[in-house]
Amino acid sequence: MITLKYCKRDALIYVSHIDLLRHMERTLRRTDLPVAYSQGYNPHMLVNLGITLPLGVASACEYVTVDVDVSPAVFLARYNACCPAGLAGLAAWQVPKNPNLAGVVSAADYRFAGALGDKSAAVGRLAARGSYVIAYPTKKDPSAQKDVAPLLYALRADREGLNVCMAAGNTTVRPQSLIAAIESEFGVQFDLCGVTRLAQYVRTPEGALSDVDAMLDGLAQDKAYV
Amino acid sequence: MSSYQEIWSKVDKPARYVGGEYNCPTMRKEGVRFCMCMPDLYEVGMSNLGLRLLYHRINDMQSAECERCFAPALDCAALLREANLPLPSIETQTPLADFDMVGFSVQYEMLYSNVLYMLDLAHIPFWAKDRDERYPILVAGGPCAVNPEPFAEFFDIIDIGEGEDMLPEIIEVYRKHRASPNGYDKAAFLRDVARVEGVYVPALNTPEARSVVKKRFLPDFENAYYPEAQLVSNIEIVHDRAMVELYRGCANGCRFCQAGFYYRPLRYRSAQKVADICKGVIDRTGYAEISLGSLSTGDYPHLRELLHTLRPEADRRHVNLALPSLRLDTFDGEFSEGARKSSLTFAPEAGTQRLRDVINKNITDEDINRSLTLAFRQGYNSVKLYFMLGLPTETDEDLAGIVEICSRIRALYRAETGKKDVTVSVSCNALIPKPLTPFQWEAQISTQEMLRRQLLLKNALRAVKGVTFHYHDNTVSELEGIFARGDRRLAKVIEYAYRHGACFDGWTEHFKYDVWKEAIAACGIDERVYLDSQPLDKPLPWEFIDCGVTRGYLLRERERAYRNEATPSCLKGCQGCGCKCAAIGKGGGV
Repeated sequence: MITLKYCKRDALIYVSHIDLLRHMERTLRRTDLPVAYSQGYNPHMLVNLGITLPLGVASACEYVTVDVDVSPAVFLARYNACCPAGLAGLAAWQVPKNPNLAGVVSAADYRFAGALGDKSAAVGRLAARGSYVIAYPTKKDPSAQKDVAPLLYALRADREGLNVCMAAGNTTVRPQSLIAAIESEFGVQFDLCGVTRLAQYVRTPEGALSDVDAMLDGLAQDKAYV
Repeated sequence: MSSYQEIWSKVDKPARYVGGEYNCPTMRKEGVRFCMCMPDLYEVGMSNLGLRLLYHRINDMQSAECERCFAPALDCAALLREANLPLPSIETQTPLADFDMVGFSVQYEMLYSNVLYMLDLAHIPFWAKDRDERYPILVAGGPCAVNPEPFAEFFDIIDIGEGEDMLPEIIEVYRKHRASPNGYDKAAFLRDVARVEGVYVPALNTPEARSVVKKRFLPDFENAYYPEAQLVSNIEIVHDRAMVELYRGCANGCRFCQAGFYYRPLRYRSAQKVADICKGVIDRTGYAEISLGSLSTGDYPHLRELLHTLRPEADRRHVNLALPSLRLDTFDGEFSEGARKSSLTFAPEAGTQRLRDVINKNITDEDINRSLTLAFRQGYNSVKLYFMLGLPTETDEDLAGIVEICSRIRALYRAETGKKDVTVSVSCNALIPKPLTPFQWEAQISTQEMLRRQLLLKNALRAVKGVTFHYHDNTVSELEGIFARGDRRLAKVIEYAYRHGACFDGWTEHFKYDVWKEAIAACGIDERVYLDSQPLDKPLPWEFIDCGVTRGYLLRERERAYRNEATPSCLKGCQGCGCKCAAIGKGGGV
């Protein structure tokens, strides 16, 4: 079984989670690697995507696990020969079982590019607030709100933007909602296409955040990078 | 950050506008720059095989490159207008007006308003006469070119027939004129390009001074261009699969079917060639499904050999082979083997044998019984049936025949399986008498009469258990009928309707019947001229186009229809339509 780390960029940032699965299946079919299929009436490729990425957000750290019996080096080379440029593979680990990243990832780093200028210091102090209630519209309730303070783990602002480490996965903060709240409170403007996910984390039994790459390094029998 | 990017980030489904698909060539912005437009949403336009073929065909040329543009959804159009940004191409976000040539594929009469919608958003004048050398050359092609007259005056060039060779030749003529030391002169280019076979230049070839335009087709279909490394959409599109044609043309000669006559002569691809293409497509696209297309798949003489050659590789790669357009009389259990036993679709088109003879749909009641018995034995329990209403000589007895077929299907299913859980879905469309068919002179029935027949059928089908009935609002068919047999006077109607809010007319929720009726009245048009029966002794607006099938043949077929006489398939012997298909030969057969 192989866990692949790949990026999502350029036009591919507008590919939804469900379309992404189709992309993966087509890319893997093009590789002609011996990917395993489910049994049953409608066999499907055994591919497990990681946590979702909101439409329009780029990423340097997406993960997918594929049930295929080849070395990480062969997998990565074949994948990169057959994938769309916007979903280029970065690393591959041979793992003994599906790490179920969609279930265990609990935080991620994001970069929000935008001209903060002199307001960066004020924005940076957001992390210290005990409560930060923002508009958090959902399909069911367009006027919903959410207190995101407990879900913002680290925040560092500079003149060109903002780095945030916050909840992701089953409990999550939508980057666009956070951006909208900061924009309206501080009168700043972020780039609409300037949001990038930089890293994903799992919680260790001790409660600390650990980079998914490090977790996979610990799990893997073999690894390959670009 | 450009303003286009800002707009894409605000619209529904931005992937429609930003490109970056797998197998999308890198543009150098050199040579003749062509933008291929489809006046419908990305998901619809990208599903079109013709677009994929011509897009890659041009991009394989040394001297030209091709980009794409689709009709933006209304939310996107509103933002473009608000920002006063012209509609750009997908690949390099270049405004359409900055291209050398802009091509429109016109698939369907109800897209005419969307051509103007796109030109309007692109800041390009609608009428060819209003565009000088500063504007791109506008080219149209596609199935509607069989009668291009309603939209002819919007375009500089109309491609009649197959474009794979014609379009590169047009581009080459253009390139030479652009490079001319005396400077580029649009009028001189048009005079020159009119000599390319298949090219119709509406400004030079007018109803007042006609010359014949010969439809273009590829004589060697076996070796016709096919891009194995074709675009793979980033988002789900309507037909999200590869399509490989088995053959072009059709031997059946159903008298209502324009495609059956327009795409002649009959030309096959060998099973080996199709299999090789399909294997290449799987490697280069990764699609999970390949549709083996043609006008009547079951009539492909090499189908058994093809499936035998291709199926092992398709199964190994988990690729489904779809066989659309299977005719009832050729339904063969073997072809559907391994397919999911869900629903079978057949098109008897008419309810009685008499009327099927009139329209020359060579299916008998025995064919229906035999094929369905076979299908039920294999485990199918759902049948979709397509019929047409408003056929010439149709009576209420023929409608009763549709009900009778449904009852018989239930009885057959019961006899074969001992169960009653069969579902029958009946779908009825209006006959629109189309150019280049033996029915091109027939009257189209009125919306009022259509409603009567639809309700009659609806009530009668209620009595049969397990049957659902689908039918369409006839107002769309009425307009489609007007434009199908229209002439140049209708261009004004299209412009008026667009200016008063018509667009995306093919989408039920956007179709504005009132606007079109108002446009017809405002332009002083009597729609009966187009919907009534046409005089046999006068040339019809599209008859300056030589499609191969002769007027004499169509007239003979019309007479046979009125005598309830069927005409056998061309495979049983050449019927002398005028196309002289090499695949059939003098003695008939393949």
